[in-house]
Amino acid sequence: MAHVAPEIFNGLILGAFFAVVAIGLSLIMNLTGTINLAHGSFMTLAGYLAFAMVSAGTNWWFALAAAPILTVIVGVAVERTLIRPLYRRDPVYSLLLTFGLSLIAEEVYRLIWGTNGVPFSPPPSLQGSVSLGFTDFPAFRLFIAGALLVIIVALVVFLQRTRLGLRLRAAVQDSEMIAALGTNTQLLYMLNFGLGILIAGVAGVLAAGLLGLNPQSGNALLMPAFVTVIVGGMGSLLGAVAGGLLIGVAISVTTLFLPAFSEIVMYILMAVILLIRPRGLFGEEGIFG
Amino acid sequence: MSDVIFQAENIVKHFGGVHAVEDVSLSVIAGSIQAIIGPNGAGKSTLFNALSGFYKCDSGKVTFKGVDITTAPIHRRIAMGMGRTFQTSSIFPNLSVYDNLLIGLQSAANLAFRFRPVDATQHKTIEEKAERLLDFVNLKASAHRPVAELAHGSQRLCEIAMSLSTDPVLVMLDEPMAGLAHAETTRVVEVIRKLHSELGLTVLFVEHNMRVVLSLAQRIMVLDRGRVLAEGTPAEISANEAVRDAYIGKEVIESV
Repeated sequence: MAHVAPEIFNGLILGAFFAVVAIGLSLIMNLTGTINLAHGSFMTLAGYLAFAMVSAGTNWWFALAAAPILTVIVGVAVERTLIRPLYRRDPVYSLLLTFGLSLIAEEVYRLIWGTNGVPFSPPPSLQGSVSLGFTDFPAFRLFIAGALLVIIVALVVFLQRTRLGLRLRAAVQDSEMIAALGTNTQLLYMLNFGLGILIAGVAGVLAAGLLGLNPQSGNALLMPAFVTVIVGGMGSLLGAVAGGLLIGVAISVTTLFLPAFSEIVMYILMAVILLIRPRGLFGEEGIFG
Repeated sequence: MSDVIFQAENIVKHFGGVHAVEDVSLSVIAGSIQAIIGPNGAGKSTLFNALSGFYKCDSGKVTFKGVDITTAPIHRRIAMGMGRTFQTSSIFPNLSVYDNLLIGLQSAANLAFRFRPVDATQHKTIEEKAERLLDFVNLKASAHRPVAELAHGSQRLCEIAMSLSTDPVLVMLDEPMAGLAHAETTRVVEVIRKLHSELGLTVLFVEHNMRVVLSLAQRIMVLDRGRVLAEGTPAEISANEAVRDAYIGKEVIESV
């Protein structure tokens, strides 16, 4: 059983990525109804930007902060010019738009950085391993686990304890009333979209060092993130975390014992959970936080 | 004496081929209570949404306090002193009454998009205002309960308090009595009367309940199929033949 423990830990890390991506997706989906199929492309973009910065000689830590911010700028520009005009339309319009964007982005990354993946290793200070008593564990993985936890906790505090968080939770329930109470809803939508992309960006840089970086690497996390949203329950922050971790562990452990099933185990899990709880583990209607 | 605070001129709003509002003009006198009535589908709510900025007018001009606000975004109008409620309950059910009020109070204090913490004086001002609003609508006892737990009438009062939280001078209420039981209606009518008598606000409301309209409104505008059918005092309106034919006669008979 000794080799199962690290696999479970790896699964938790993978699951934390799913959770963080799922939370970003949910933020955008719950407030504006936009199903952002380009979410993975923004993760990939942040990864490549960080890679380009480190290749140009900057510090990895600087890239970890700067690449997500640049990605947010791109994301907000996309929101303001392309997505905003579609808010009043059926969600299918923004779904098609962001799907198109993700295809375009993938080809652009291919043109600039090549079809094959690029090597992007963590900084020297995070290479090597840390002894956990029962096993040695790679330091970079531990760092990622801590960083993702910080993101999730920070987001909960933001949504529950700040004025803007109160507005976002309220706007998810009724965006007309929040406008009637004097909130600039277009600005709120923009900040919310930017927040979703910021989380995706940080996750993208971290994932690039752990799971590899190629034109499709962000999209590879997108599908499990959607499954996470469904398993955890739409609109539930706790659900996204629980769902993500559950799927991550399920994939890791299946890889160990039944590698052939690791690709489909999350769908089996989703089917079983939806049979028992049709709204997902913690599903509520349209409420976030 | 008759200062016009809010004016709409020749408002037109079509949805595809449907002429929801056709050339409607309206003046609201500062400090008055005015009502818009009309049968279902007369365009009352459409007009309301066009006047408050939730729909874009196809043509026409809207002025508030002498400023052209025809194309102003909603939050600008709110900042200028317009407040409104909706036909369907638009409270945030999972938040407490207090938090519901906080959203508007913070917008009015210009704090919504600032990240730094509220300082002690600002905090005190907001708290005092919240207390006053709770007092005004008599919801102090339920301040920290989720709104979803309150009775329908109390939820409506919470909504009215919310529309007051942004310090409006003109309050627009879209069917404030919709779905209320008779006893609850009395409570809400009292609060609306107080908006006018105690706070000196201008009130414009859409309403179906004729008894409420005739007892509250100083002036009434009747819409029918998107056009103005009649305008006048309650006495003039209840005496108007065309209005009786189109609307009131039926209602009064029903309500007796």
